[in-house]
Amino acid sequence: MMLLKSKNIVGLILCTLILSASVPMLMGIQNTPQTIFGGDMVAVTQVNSSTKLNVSMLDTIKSEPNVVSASAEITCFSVVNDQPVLIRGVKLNDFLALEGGELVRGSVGNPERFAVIGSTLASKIGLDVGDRLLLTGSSNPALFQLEIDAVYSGRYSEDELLVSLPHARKMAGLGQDAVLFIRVKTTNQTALVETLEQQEQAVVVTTPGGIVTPVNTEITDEERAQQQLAIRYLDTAQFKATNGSYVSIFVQEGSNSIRVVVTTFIILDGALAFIGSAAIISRAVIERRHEIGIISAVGADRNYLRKLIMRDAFVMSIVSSLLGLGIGYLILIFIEDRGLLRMFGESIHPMINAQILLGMFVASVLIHMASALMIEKMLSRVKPRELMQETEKLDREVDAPPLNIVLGMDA
Amino acid sequence: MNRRIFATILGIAFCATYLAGTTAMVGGLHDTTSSLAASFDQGPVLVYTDGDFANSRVGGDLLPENDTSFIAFCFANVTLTDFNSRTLGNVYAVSVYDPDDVLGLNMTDESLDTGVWVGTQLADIMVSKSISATTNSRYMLNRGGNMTIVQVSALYSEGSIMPDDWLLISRESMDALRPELEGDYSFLMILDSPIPLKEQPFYVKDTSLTPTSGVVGFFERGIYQVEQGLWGIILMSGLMTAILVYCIISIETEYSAPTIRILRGVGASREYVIRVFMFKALFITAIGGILGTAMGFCAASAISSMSSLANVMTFITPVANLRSVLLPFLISVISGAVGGFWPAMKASRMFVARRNDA
Amino acid sequence: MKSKYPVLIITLLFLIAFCARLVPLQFSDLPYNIDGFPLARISEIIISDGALPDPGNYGGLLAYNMKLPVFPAMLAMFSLVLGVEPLPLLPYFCALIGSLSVIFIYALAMSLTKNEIAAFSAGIFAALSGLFVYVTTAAMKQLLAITLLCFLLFLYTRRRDWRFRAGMILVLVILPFTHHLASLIALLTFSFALVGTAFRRSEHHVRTTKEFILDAITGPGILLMSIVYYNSVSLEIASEVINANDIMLLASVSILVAVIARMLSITVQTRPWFFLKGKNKKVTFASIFDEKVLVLVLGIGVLYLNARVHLFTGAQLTSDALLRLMFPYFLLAIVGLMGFNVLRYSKFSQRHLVVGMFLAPLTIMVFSALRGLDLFGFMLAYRSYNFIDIPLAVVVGVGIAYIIGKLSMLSKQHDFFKPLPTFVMVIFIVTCAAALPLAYNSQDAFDVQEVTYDYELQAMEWASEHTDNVYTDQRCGDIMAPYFEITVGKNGPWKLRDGGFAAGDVLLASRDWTVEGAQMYPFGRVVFQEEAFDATMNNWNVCYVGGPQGSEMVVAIVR
Repeated sequence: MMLLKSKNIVGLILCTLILSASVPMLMGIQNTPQTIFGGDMVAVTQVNSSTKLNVSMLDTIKSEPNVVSASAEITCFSVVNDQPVLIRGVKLNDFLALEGGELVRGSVGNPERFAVIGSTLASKIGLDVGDRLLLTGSSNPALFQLEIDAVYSGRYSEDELLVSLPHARKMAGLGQDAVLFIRVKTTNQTALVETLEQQEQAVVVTTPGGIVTPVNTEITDEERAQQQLAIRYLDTAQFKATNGSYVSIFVQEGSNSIRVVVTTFIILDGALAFIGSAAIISRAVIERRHEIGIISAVGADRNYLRKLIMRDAFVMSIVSSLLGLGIGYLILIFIEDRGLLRMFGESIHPMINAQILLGMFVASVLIHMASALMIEKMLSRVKPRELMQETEKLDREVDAPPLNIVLGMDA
Repeated sequence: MNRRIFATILGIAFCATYLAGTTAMVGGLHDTTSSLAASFDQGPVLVYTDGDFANSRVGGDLLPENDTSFIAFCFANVTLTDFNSRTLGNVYAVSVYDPDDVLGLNMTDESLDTGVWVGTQLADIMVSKSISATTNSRYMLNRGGNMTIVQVSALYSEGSIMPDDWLLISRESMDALRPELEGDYSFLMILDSPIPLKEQPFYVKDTSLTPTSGVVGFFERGIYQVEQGLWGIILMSGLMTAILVYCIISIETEYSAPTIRILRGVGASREYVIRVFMFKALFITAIGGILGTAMGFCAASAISSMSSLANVMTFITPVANLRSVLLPFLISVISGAVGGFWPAMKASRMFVARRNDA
Repeated sequence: MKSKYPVLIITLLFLIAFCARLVPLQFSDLPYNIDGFPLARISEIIISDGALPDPGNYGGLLAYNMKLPVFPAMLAMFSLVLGVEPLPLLPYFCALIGSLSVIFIYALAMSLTKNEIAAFSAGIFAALSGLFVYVTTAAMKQLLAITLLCFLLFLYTRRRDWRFRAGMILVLVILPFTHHLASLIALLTFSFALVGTAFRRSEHHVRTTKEFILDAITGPGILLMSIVYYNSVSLEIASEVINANDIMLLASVSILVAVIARMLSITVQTRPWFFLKGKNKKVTFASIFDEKVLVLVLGIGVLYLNARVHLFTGAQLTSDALLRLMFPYFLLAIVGLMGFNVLRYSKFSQRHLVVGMFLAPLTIMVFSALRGLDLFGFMLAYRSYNFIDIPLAVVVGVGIAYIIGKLSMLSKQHDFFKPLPTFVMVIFIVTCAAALPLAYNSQDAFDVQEVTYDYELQAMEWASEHTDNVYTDQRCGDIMAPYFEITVGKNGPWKLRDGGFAAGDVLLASRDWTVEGAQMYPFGRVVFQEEAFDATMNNWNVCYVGGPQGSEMVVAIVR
């Protein structure tokens, strides 16, 4: 194995590490806003800010045989102790049933006036049962002085603060009985949509996979595009704040901006991994250029050289990709366990599953092999003698005919 | 310039592209987010020293000037007892100083013409404890050893900015409950001010300013949290980028190892040879760094600009500052300097070893 | 090769160009393009005050144009000398200056190629092709700037003579006060030309440091000072991009394009269609028609795509009429591509300048796309494109000369092919003439009305004499506000459509709003129903009606 050296493998491991350590984290960042709203449930949401969901729909949904549990919720966004905190207005019992969560400390005496803090959030901002905090409004100006009644532990919402629906309505400026969405755990999504079609209210059903189904309405993009132009050119701050649609567009564009940044990172990561691999492999090849030159001079053809280089590159690629993925996986686990990365108050969960790992492995190997192929192609154009010494390529300037000759005129 | 050197420059340029593009993008995320957030009116701003209003204190002599519209509050956590000895704890009693009568309750001199107001939610809670919450009801309010008696005048509904689980009392009653306040207030609400709040007299050490509408602040801070994570990724990748630049330059310098040995053979000193190849390495990395920074900035701008074609509306603009411009350049130059120095030194030393062997 | 009949050719070109640029007078005596009105007004102020006015005392378009005073100052001088008012003189002034640009392009092509046919063809292209005719006819500062730029480029080719270099310095000092975009184009052109010559491999590299510094100072160096000036006067439009982020982006794009300029400035190293297998040959048809045709196809593709998809948010789509009118132009562009490749595959000493001329506007177009696909970017892109016609004229000339040269060689072998060179020249002139209508069909092509009629101006004048505030559309507003110096609300059509007027508001409207629609560039036209328009006018106090039937101008007061 001509090229197989530990320093070359270490170099390729680094290139794989760029992808394996960053891509799952970046995809987790991109995915976080989605998990805020639905988690892995079906979400029934309002169409736009002018048509609100009524909490009475919750009873209709819960009465369906295919519905395991449902929770009517209002999501609000606030700042507590200078930290972004997601506030979820819920009916506590419905929420606990849906999430499979429990109160680990404290208790709630009044279901219309409570504050239950997620265990992760409690440790982050240093609040516990009995502590009082200032809570402000979300899109609607408001203020509350709340006392923490209990600490909650569950699957998803441990970074959140749970409050009663009346509090959340005041924060969001919603009318009586209004909610923003109803999360549903169901055994039959199709049946749920059919049930919703039978009632009159226009809603949007979003599956955990992100598939959006409008029910009893047609969403047009034109109005949304106009609002997005207006948010850029309007300069009345108060107008922006009092109109929920514009605030939601700011929120959406914020998420889009993160997606754009993440996409930039992933593209540049891929390019960097490719360049790095090309650099490592070309270094390995150049170190052996004398040997390659000698082999060529004694009769080895291009195919032989190609097989030689590609075989070695393949072995190096497999070994380094496996090791790089492993180290990257460990780094991600370390970051996730310690909750080192957060976004909008929620911990970022790197997207790690078998498919993504396999995809990264294949991508890494492909990148290494593509760069080896590129190096091999460049090498195949060089004469054996040139492999063993530096030569300058002649300028074509002196070969070019003068312009007047080309134009067919005499000088 | 031959192809190998051009390829070397290109390789370094791509490394610098990564650093410049990501740094510019993350910097732009921060700047654009903060400027856009600042353009939103986030409602009245609360001024306080502790999130628990019972412990918060703002000096009465630090109230804003005449051109600022504000409301000042005193806060007490009291136990309410009716004259049938039914008790309700954790009641939030508040007195209000509203010089411009913004609330329309005529609390300009901190007294209530109509007495004591009870929020509807508080009234519901009291009723659930069998405490009457009708007008003219009288209660004892107790805070520690301090006590005062109040008589309900009216209920106020949930329509105002204030929570409807508060009990609005007069300043006299509040002074009886909290004599230690001595003319100070628990917190202020600033509605409108031509002067920046951080330049006002009430903004002293430990003072916090929080808008009453938190959604913009949530997303602003949330994006800043993302930014920290992204900087972490940049740091990690920057380290790898530096190693890659080192590798690329060391290839170039090792390629010149025979030349170095020849130079040493014709009498050049080690220092001279190392200097020559250091300059070469620095030149290559400088050119590559400049090209890469330019490419990175263009790539980040292209992604941001072209995202609108994919119907992804975003407000981000890559930012050009010292960090996004100089950092990639410096990292590539420093890594290149090491990548040029170390192999050149090794090559020049190898010749000496051989000569000694001969 | 010296031209045999220089005076004759120059006179012929001038006459053709001048006649082509006087066509708008058939429609109206008033300036072609509304930008001429503030320029005429400033000239009137200069004449009345006897000095350049202080922009601080004015606002809007007047103040903006006063910060770039060369055009109105020159117009004022002509007006005084000829004894004609600036406004009626303006179309002839523009035709004269625009025709001079054609002469300078002829001289530039002659100086670069030393080939009479190439120079003449370049002149014909500049004289007749629609896009260049438009930009050198329309009454705007860019017209004078383009003429100065053509002259500057000609002087650059002769800069080794100290007299030409002195002239170059003089023009470089004047150019920033003429037009900001032209200054930026010139800065980039000379910078790229410098990069193209500053490396050892180029045959005509700058050998001494002294020459390099002299070229740098008397080229890009002088133009860099213009940024200082624009910043000091807070020049509108320029101030949009004079910030750290945009300067960095422009610098980044320029650096990358400079690398391309370096590569293009030397004789091409790769063989044509390098990604396909083949052998190296001398300059053949494959050389001339190489893979760069893909770039041209891409450019056309983008234009076509913008006809179907909003590439620039908020801006209009490319109209089908524009695509139709551009067809002869595309044919000429293909000839230009051939000419460019002739320059690349042959030994040509001034290649760096031609490359710089092409890459400078392309740099700004790329910059505008990367900065953001918005209205400002759209405006910057299409304004920059106007400057590509200068090098395009040169390479089209070279292309035609190459074709005619080849046919001449062929005709020497066979008598049957003798008339072909003449035939090709005739076809070329006809194609250029076929591209001319693009200059005068702005409404169809760009949905912008360039012609202002006498009756429209009379109505505007009447309104300005009888009121201080008036609402109207964007086109009339951009004429009235600077020329008559009154307060104008340019959102009249939107208010009329949405019922947003208050009692006492004054509206200047046109019956054309019910047919063509009110122009609200770049947001598109607002078309009204005739019955609704009449009903509204009947309810208001109509104080003025004037103009031909069906196109009356109306001044009405809201009740």
